[in-house]
Amino acid sequence: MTRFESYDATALRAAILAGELSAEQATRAALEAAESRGTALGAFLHVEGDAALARARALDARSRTDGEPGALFGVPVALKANMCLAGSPASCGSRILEGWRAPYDATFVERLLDAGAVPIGATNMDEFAMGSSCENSAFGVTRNPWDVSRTPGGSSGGSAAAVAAGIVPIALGSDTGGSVRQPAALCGTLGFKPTYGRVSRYGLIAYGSSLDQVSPFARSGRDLERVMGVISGADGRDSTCIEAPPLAIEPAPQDLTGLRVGVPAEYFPTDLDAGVRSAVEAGIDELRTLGAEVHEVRLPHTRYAIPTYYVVATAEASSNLARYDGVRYATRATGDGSLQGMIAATREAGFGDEVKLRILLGTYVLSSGYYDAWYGKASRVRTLIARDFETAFGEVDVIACPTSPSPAFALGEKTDDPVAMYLSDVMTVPASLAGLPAASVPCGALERDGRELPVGLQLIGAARDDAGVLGCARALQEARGPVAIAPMEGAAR
Amino acid sequence: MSATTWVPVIGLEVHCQLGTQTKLFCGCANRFGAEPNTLTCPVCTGQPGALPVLNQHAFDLALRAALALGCDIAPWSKFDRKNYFYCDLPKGYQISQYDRPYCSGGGITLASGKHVRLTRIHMEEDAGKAVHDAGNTTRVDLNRAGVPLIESVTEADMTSSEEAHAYLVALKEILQYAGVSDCDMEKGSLRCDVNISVHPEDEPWRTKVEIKNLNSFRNVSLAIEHEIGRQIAAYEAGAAIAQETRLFDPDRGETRTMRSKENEADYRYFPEPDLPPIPVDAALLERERGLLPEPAAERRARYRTELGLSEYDAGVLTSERGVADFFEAAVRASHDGTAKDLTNLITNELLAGLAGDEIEASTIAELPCKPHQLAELVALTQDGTITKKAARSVVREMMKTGRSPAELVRELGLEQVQDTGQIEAWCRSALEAKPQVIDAVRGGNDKAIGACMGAVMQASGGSANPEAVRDTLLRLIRESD
Amino acid sequence: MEGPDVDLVLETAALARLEVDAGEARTLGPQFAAILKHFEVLSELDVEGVEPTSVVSTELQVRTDEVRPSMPRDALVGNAPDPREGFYGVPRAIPKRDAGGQGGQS
Repeated sequence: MTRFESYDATALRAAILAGELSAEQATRAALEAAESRGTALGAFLHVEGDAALARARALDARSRTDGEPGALFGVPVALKANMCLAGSPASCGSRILEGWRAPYDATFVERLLDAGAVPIGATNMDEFAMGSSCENSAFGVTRNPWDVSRTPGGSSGGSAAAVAAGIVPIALGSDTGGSVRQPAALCGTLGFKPTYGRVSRYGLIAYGSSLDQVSPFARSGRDLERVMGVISGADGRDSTCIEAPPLAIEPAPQDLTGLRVGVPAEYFPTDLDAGVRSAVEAGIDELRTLGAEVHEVRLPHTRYAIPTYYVVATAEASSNLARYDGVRYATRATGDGSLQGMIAATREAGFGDEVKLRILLGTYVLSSGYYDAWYGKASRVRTLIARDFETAFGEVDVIACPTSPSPAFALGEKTDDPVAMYLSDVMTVPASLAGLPAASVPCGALERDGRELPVGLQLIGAARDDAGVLGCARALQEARGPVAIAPMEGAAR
Repeated sequence: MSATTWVPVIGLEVHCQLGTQTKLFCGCANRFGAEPNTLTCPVCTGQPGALPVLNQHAFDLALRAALALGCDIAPWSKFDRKNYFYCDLPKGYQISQYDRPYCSGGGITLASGKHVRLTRIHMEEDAGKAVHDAGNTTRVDLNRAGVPLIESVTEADMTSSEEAHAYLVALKEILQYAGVSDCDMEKGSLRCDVNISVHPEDEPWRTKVEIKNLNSFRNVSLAIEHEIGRQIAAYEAGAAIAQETRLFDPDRGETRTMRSKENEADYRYFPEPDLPPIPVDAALLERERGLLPEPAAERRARYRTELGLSEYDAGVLTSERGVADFFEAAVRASHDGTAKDLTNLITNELLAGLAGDEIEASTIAELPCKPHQLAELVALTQDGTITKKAARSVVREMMKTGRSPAELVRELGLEQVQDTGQIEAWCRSALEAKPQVIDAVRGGNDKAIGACMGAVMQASGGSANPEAVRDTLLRLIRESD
Repeated sequence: MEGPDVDLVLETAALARLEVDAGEARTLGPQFAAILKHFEVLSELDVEGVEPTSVVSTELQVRTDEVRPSMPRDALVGNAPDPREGFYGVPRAIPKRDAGGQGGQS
């Protein structure tokens, strides 16, 4: 199997179609890796081996005359545990949804299945996607496959680790304020957050509704384009979904000649990690080598992005998580025997500390007397942040900057300091607030405690220019060569 | 000592379910009376990950209601989340409209001439239903969750339970006429909350109290009467009235505290991020304006001036839009001067039949007989083919089968007997049986002839032409001199 | 009285239906306060006349008024902690004296 382990989805699909291996063999390999490496990393909350193998066999049984094979034919994929696959658990890393099985398929899951992808299980995450280190899951932490004493990033840490460790070539995460781009950077994979509305959110369990986007991880630029081609496109079940056909799956990488790349000074503060700075600068040089012109741009409201993001996201979360009341699904605690007592006891027992903290923050910023100063103010600052980008994209085609201010930090390092944890999202939340497409692409590594840690370069595009960002990410990745599979340093083998 | 004159100040908030096929944000049927939790899906039960999508027709109907009530339509509006916890509210928030409702202003002028102003109308989704068992549990049915509602809020322009009642009757009529809702309070498609305070004449307004749980017009009146009395009694006893929400208990005919001002929920409204703002384009507005029917009040006036009907008849015919539409279609298919005959058949036969048990249909539009057939039937009485009494028997058959009146008249043998020989024979035997009638008529008492007329009509089974019978009897009496 | 941060946490928790006890509030209070302090930077900005952004997409997608099949009852009620004869069972929502099978608040 090792021959296929390093294959990306595009190559794996071609090998299956060429008869070099069956879909069942590919799925079996992924399930075995999920069992061994996945368990060592804490990457999965739930693996659905029987269902996955049944799907793979059904694909193998298809006759060649059954029409064009899907774009992900036979490709094993992993889904973050906040995504609905009918009949499968989707706990969101929370006790409150423990045992709950989704009664329906998400739109993007339906599209994956139609394209021949084989979901093998649900990946670990910060509870309800609230976190930047994958330490807030009720069911244990996920570890970084480059150094298992460190975080994979979050909240989609399980999906990032699964792709980085070569368990699956593609996994889906959700990105609200950087929850795919930051773990992609910390785990050395590619990650792409589409323009808000590019992928239907129907069936993605909400954290911050105006920010959440289903976002893929992959180990190649062409795989990112491929999976986006499958899951993007208009959907009548999400009112905020953009009325447009799916993105194209391009046959070749984009030519970057003449591409105007903007570099914002605000993303290179004096205290930026030196290793991150030099890796990102090397990545920008690579873009220049590929024919791009580099310009300086200004994004003056960047420093307000973190408070703005945490006010907006927690406000929405406080409302989105109100449905977990013990009435209609999942777990219930008795409380004092009254209805409101049952609701409060259920929520107290079911939610973890960070979720409670964010519900409290969100409730506070919406409450009578505080709304204008907090939620009202933040939603106006959000407009200013979006305008910064609009101005910048009058001058450049794409913005290049670090994805994360630091490489993967040690597990436990920031768990007692929420503010420090929130600041690790400083480079990713601005594009989320403005709803812009943004990718993280591996651009080198730095050494910490004798281990190599990956660094990610973030590419941000103008609204709806998903194709431009994907094309640029692919060109950079292909110029730098194949993305390495993480060595699982420090893990018991 | 002179008694204080207390002035009540009353405002109404009316929730009205829109008559759509489906719910506001999902494709589940908007239907009353189904088995519990059989009209639900991930969206209306608030399953994790489900999202709302607006039913365009619900918005169209809401617009129509606003146009019918003379409101100003906002060029764009938005939905907001109203956050609170209750077992019948699946998402923990209700999708409603807060600071950008889709319309504002407008109002209704009551028959008394009083104008009641509307503050605004907004759209929202209904909650489910909580049924409280005798034991220690409450059971929740979510079939109603997500049904589209409009909530109209009046200014505090009313001063009595009579005015509030008249406003509700007028509102219901306008919404029904516009085809917005069936406004059936028994099914909960119209529900009313009352805001009420009292103050001495020439003094400023005092603390207002909200009364909820009013599910009939009668209960609205009773609750207002009771609450006015309670507030006046409290003030006169030197007590204060607390700002609070009270529930009306129909069994006891009184209101009692539900929650006080301090416990008022903080609903934490904020813009619904799952639904972008709703634009209103001019073409949609024009289309909906074109679909507005002539209002009931205008129809009533026209029936009296143009068709010569009484105020009572005009009122009955316009009590429901379906009846008025049926009547007008029948008038259009008839000769002039038949409006009163059509009215009698509709009000005495069709509406009585609908109210009874024998007819399956529940609205006049569902009856198998159509307006043009009613017009044909009236034409048969006008040309003397059948009597008006026979027409009543025919229409009762038509209601059941929808068969043509001419066919039924033939089949039932109801054509009037015009055969003078037969009529004369019946008249002779009637006079022989009652010779005293002859003397009475000769003595100048023409009315005495009625006894013989009755006998002849009976003998003919109602088919003899009454005019011909009367003429023949008079002729025979003259000839017997 | 536990100090303003702790009281704020307790009041907000009640609104959010989180049964936070005093001990937990003493932990959350300082975190809450530290976060809000960090967020105060927002007050520097003058946003007079700036329109708020609450939804990023601008076009509203709507649907036609056509009935779609509802879900089988068991698929949804069957997931509930206390399914009762096709209903969702919960602890009694109003005080006992109001018994009589009437609907609750609307």
